[in-house]
Amino acid sequence: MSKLHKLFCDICALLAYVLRFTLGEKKPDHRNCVCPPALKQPDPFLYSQQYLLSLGLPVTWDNPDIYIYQGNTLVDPHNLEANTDYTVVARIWNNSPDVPVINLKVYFSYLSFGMGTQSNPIGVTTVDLAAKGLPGCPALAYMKWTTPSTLGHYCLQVLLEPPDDSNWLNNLGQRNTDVTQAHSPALFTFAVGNHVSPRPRRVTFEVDCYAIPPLLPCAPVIEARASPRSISKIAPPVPAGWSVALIPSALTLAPGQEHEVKAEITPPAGFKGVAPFNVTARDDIGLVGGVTLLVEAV
Amino acid sequence: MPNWYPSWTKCSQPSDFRGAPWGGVAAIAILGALMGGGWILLTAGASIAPGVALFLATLCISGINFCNWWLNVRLICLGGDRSAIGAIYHLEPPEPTDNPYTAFANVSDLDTDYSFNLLLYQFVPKNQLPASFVNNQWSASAFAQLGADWPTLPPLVPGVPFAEVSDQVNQILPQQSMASLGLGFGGQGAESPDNAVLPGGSNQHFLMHCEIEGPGMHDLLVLLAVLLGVFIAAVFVWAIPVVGPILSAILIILALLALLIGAPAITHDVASPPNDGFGGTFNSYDPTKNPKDPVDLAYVFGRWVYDSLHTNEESNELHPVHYMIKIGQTTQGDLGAGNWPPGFGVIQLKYDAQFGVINSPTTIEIQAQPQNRWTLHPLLDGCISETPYPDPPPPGTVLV
Repeated sequence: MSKLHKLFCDICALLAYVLRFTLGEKKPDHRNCVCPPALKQPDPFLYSQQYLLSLGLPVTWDNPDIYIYQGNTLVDPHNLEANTDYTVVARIWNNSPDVPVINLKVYFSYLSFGMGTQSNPIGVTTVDLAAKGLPGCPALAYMKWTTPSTLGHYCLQVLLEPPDDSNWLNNLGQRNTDVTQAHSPALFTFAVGNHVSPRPRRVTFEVDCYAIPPLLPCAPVIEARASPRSISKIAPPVPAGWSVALIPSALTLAPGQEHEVKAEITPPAGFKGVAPFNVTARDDIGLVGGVTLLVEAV
Repeated sequence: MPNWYPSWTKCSQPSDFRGAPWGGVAAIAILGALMGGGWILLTAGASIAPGVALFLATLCISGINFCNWWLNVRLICLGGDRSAIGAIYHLEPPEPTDNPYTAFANVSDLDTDYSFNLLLYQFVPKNQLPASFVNNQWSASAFAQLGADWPTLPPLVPGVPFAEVSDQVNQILPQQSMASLGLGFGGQGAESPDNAVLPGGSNQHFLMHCEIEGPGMHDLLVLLAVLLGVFIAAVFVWAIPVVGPILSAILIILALLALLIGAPAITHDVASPPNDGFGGTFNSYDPTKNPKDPVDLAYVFGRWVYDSLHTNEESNELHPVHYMIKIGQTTQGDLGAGNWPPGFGVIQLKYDAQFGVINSPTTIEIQAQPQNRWTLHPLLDGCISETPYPDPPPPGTVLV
């Protein structure tokens, strides 16, 4: 019976195809290919601010997929010493259920703390990345880094370069964070540069207080037979009682120029804890960069 | 298996293999001609339609018989599925036609598989098997002798140890499991000017033939099954008083029209290179191109078979290709000079291991678990399972 049913389905499909062909509807190119239902491309990625912003999602520049070790101790990137050996670690995921990546190239680089500043290569390594959900995903890429002899804050960049990718836009991640104690006000400085545009760049800033929310446990998800969670496109604004002043609040940068920006963040009286402030810079074309400023009070 | 490319063929075990059923096809057709002609003679030409329908029905049976052989017997199993790694070489795309006569005159037009050769890793196009091996290739000792001779064979072969390439070379050589069948083995040839036979060499190059299957021959089988039904109906409909002969003639005409329209349509029902990764086209090696032009490097996984219908080019194949992925790119110039990307050697073994896990039935269950249902980033739209995502281990615990 199942064979007869299959033959009947085959006949119907063929007659439909021949009829469409006769009516001049040629098989479109994408139907010629063997892709559906086959999907044979990997999608290596890490937390990529550029990609998430392009989807209209809020981001933190405190990248959860980039770590720094000093020896065997996890350290924060804002607290690095000059001319000292560290190990930068990138956690890399794969969104493809059926294609791994062998010898995935991972490029590490650092920048002066800020946005749109000059990138300096640290090095490149390779890792093997398994398919989604399997042992070997996420993959971890380790890279030794000796900090420059000049003391300062630095941003870290990780770029993935696979031989093939179903989404090339989620391969660049940055960790740009600084921490200051909550004096009144907490003071930060960061650089904003124009090293990519051949024309003057008019830069404006946006500030929000987004942080990645804690994950929910899976058990209720299993019970509800639901998707784990939806992602909000709305970033929490600067809360009432806080004030954030950027000096200057906008600027125009000539090609090759960098400019220092001061951030004065005043907490409300009696504040305790850590509050994140994401400063994202844009010009009339798009994203320039961003930093996450953490105000801490004990 | 999940997400494998579509396939319409099966392979036969060497013990079950039988050659192309040309005799059976001809015998059935002749029998049909005799029956149809006999009917017409018996009725003194008064009832032509049933005779014609009977003859055409037997032609359909002949065609169905051939299609079944093509789809289910022609390919001989050599031992499961295998992988190969190398550079995309010669392309043989299907050839659609709008001319029904051409479609039937050249049956290969109805075969809508997309074929290509893969130049095996570490070889150059002009490398070729030695004549000493080819002349003795069905012998049980031929492969061992090839290994023993290997160090003396350059420039016929690259200067790499036989142990490094023996597995992939063995995949393109005649297999003892089917040696007793007495079939030919012409191997795969290179394109000019790399096809020049070197002293002591042969026409067989280090190329793995691969075919991404199109549905053409399966479509033809289905079409013939439909037409068979219509022609049989035409025979019986003729017996209906008054309108029967007219209905019978109409059915025959409609069936022939379906054949005239359907055959060209089938030749357009083609396979092509995968869109994902390759963009629907291959960058293949071609010595006439600019040396700086790109050539795709690929990992190909498919059913390892011998195709008995490739006259003078009988060879082992990956047919159908179950899946293939792009693993890099090189240039025409580098490939012609044998400059393969460094560190390429272990890639195939690693992919084999990874795909072994991916094709395991338990993998689908693992990937369906809630913590793996994220689509954007595990920390954004995922959830925490019993074992949450840990921080990376310190570098002192891993090899940096």
